[in-house]
Amino acid sequence: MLIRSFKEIYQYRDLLLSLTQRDIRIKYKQAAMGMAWVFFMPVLAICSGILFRLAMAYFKGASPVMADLVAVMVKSVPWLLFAAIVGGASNSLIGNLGLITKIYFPREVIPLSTLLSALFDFTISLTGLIIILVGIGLFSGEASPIILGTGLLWIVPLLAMLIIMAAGFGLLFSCANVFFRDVKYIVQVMLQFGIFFSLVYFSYTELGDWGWMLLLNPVAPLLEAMRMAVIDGTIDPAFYPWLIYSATVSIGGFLAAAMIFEKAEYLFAEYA
Amino acid sequence: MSKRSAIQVNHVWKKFRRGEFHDSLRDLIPAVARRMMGKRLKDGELAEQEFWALSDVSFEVNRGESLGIIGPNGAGKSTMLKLLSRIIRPNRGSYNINGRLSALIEVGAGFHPDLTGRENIMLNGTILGMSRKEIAGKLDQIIDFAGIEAFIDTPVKRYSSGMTARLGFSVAAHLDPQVLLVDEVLSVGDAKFRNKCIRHMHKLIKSDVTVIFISHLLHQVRTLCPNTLVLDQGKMIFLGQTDEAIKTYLEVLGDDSAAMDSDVVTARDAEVRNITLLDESGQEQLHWQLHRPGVIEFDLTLHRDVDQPSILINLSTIGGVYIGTANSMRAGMTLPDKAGTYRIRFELDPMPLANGDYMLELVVRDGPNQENLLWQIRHPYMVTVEGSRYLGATITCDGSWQVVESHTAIDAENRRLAGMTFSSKQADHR
Repeated sequence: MLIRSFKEIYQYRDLLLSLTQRDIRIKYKQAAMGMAWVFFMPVLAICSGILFRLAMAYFKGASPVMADLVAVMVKSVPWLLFAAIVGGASNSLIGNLGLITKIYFPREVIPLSTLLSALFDFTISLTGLIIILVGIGLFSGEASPIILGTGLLWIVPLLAMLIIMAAGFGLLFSCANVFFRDVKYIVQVMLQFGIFFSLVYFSYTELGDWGWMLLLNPVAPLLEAMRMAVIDGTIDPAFYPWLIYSATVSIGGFLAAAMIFEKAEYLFAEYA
Repeated sequence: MSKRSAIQVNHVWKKFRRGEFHDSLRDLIPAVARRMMGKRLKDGELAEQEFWALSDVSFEVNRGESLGIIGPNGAGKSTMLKLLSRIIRPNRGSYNINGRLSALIEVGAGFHPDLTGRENIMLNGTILGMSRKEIAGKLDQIIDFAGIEAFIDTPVKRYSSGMTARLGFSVAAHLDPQVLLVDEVLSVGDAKFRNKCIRHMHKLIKSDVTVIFISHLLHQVRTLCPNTLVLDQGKMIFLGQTDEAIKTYLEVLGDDSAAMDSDVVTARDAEVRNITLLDESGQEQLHWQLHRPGVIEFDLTLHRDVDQPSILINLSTIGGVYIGTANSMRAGMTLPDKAGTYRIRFELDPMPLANGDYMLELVVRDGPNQENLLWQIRHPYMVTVEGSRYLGATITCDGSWQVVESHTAIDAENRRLAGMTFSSKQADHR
């Protein structure tokens, strides 16, 4: 059944592309900040994080550590991707009811197109982040907090897991939103405060004995692993179970969401 | 299913629900759970507040044929098309479509106001199921058909509604379907563009495309579809020749006096009820012979004393072209102005109208210049002209004809024989 879905989405790939293009164009047309907007959110998130780290260092009576600031950057940008995908996808179906009630096409295309346009923004901010990190690396020479090596390859599967997880939540919430309009407010609030519960500004090790509980948030182990890959150059094998947990939630959640979406999809036009 | 069959619909039922869908989470969760488990509660039964939007509809359309679907508002026409285009699913029954399906349910659905015409063509085209390559290849044709070359790089939000509709239709018209579902979209744009659309539909039908066509414009249905299905409250009430179908439809509209009453604007200061159409001999007629004298009788109720009331009966073609008005004031008729109910009778002189459907609209106004609207019929009354000797055009322009001069070789010979040359005739004239 899912295979049929994927096949159909592939048939409608041109529509997916068109909708993505539309989303991107609309965002930057008639916008005061234009493309600068792509950097606005990450810069703001990173600045808040740095402020947070500086405050923590001040209360500890220590001077801020560069590695901690880099960790904030490395975690903020993927977190924003996650938030953009889930937030965007959640509103996508009700934002396109006009199409859903009038024309047939695989409905998955709509949340997926918001995912692609979020990826477009992410690619740009990621490029910015890489430039900054390389700059920090060159500037701090021997004392560089970034370890260039094979450990960085971890980023690829970690990002993939994060995107699949976001896609799963996005599909689920977009579908739920058609039936209950308050879902979008719930999602909005969750994403707003989620940054503090996803270990973006600090690490689970800093929270003492109960820090591991935050790793139950399936986004958190992925972000923590990204920090380890960049700053430690490797991931501690003791952390692998948490990664397996996240990967399971990611893939299992996505498949479950896709299945629910497919079951509910033909009701959209009626319940909308 | 025969080889020639393009669309086959077998005993399709579809239920909808009135009112709010979910009052609370408590109601919804079990309902959704049931649906998701695929165990819907007895499909054939209606829960409270549910009704059949379609009940037991079956028909078949062969390849290259066209079928019209007509019926009053809420008959289930659009529901039928939504089922066929897979937007919603039937509760019972099945249908089968052979060939690439396209649906023109609303032109320009998916247009984004901030995108330019060109960008929207790409977007709308892919929404309708075309590939980007296909659209790129047809881009010039699409722009040309819509006739908006000058504005193609302007955002659609700056278009007039007519331009938007034309662009929408133009994209849709360049789909390459084998089965085409059309819902009430051929009424876009001006008369010239409408004709272009109709010609395009004819071309499609000739080229072996199967068409299902929904319209309230009966003359369009008549020109495009040899056969028509009449739906009323979700039920098939007629399937067959279009002319017969239109008759059945008009009877449904006319007979249903309850529906008729709900069709009028809520009475304010005046209202008109119990409209009857009579022929010259006083027989009640649904199919009025307008080329002969006709009579309209109705009850006029004034809820208060009014100032110089007047009644206007507007006549227009079913395509909306206004033909004329019978104005009680202009005719020198002084209507009663005290509150009360009066039976009014209007005798209409014969008019040179062709066979076809026409709409009658009743309006009650008051004031010396007819400036205040007291009451207006919401949906025009439909009358059919039959047995007219005038065919083709809406109105026949009569007059008398004669030949007053002729110049042929035989004439010239005759004149020569009579010793009277053409030039000398001209000289005479001078």
